[in-house]
Amino acid sequence: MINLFETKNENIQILSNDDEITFDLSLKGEEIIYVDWSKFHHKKVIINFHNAISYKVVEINNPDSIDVIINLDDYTSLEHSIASFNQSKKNNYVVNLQNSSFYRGGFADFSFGEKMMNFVCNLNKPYAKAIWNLASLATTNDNKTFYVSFHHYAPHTYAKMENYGVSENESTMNFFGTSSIEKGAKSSATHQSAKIMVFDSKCKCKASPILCIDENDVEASHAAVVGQINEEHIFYLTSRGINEEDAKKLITLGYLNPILKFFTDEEILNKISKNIEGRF
Amino acid sequence: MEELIIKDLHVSVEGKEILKGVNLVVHPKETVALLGPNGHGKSTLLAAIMGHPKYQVTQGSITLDGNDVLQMSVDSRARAGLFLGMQYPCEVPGVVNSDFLKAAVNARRETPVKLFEFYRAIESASKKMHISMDMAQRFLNEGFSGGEKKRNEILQMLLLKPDLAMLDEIDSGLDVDALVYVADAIQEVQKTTNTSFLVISHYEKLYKMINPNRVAVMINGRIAVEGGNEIIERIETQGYEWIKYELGIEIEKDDVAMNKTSIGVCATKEIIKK
Repeated sequence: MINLFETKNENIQILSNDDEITFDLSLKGEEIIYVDWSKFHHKKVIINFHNAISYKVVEINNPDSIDVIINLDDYTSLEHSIASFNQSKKNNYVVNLQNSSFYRGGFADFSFGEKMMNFVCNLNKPYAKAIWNLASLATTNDNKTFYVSFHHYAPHTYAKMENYGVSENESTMNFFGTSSIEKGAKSSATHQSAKIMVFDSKCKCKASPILCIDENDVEASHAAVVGQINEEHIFYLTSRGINEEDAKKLITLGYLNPILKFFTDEEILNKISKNIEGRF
Repeated sequence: MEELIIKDLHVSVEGKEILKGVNLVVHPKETVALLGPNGHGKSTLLAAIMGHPKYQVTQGSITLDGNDVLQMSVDSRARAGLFLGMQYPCEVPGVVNSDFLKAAVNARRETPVKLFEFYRAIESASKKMHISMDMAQRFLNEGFSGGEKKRNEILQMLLLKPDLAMLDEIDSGLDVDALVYVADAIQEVQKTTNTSFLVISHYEKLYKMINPNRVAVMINGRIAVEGGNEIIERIETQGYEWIKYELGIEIEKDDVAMNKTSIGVCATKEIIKK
């Protein structure tokens, strides 16, 4: 395990000035890299992953108003798991993918208050592949907006995003998904889906999927659902003796639980489970 | 359970009255067959007893051992001993079958069921219903075939051990073998417990296997005829017409209004006109 901000690993080179810090990672084998933003003071961080191996990065809590830029070399892959429990108003992530590089992002968002996230992934070279899963819970008067974009600039690139949200009380939740396939990005495929489950009448939720396609011979799809918990599902569960509250809990867990597969660390898993269950 | 008593029950669905004064009593250890033409209120009765929010009771009463069922929430009705095996069990994506079953079992207990005990109970019920144990890890009813869903309903009945099991066309969608598994399970419960059954089916075959004590025929939202097993045979061979002649009850049929749109008419335009 490596803690990125405290490491003295010889395969990690650090270059920094007042505003910006750059990490160059050339690790030899697979190791989990932890990032804890509470100890971070710069405005911009660039993390370059080299060596064509598989990296695993686990982020606890989101950086507030920090630009994070992730660059993957050719044939390099990154499994990026983010779990957020704090308050962080503004997050900007940019991921740049090169030849045959693979990015897999999983974001469990249990932060509170205001949140504006902007996640951009550029598939710059052929055969780059990206998969993104988001599970977000908004309660009380949380106000959360997520912009998630995938831009295909090269042929044979693939992207898939799934944004899932649960909104309660008087919270606001917005998903804006953009998938663009630029001229020349032939034989690329891009898919996105957004689902928000609404619990209360004062929730304000919006899911807006956008596809911009400027090339033939491509595959693209989008789906967006905003809706209440199905009354028939509640009836089915309660007709077996489960009270309504527990029935709603089971359905919500089923909705957010898929994000758990992105995490292996027991402590984080427990924290996520507690955050889901603690809301009831 | 001692008795389920339904008195003068009127039930409406979306403003339309379906049940128009149902009177019916189910005694302990009794199996009652509920027959009747399509659309005359059999499923409505069962759904209303269980408390489906779409079915509004406008008049009458339902009591279980003297307790007012209509005042109870759906889950407390279930915990009081009622069970509804549904005609079309819904799929609940995301909810894992075993989590659901465990929650249902625990809802009836003071202390949560021990893992091993729970496992044994599921194993035994799955074996009886010829359902693979893998099913426990799948999402509730999702991707199940019609027959698997019905068998899963009976599996739940075996686990939850209700006082009154109401089974709504449990035999539809079952193949020959599965029908035998379901009937065997019902027979075993009949023999070994005090559970009563209220069973809707259109087919003599299931009734022959589970041998009802009493038969009720629902027509026009009321119980028109009550009697013994001979009624089932008569309906099987003669249909429902004899009721019209012998009892003078006119059997209402849903008037299917001619659709305004027909071939050659643009349906979209017709809708816009409205």
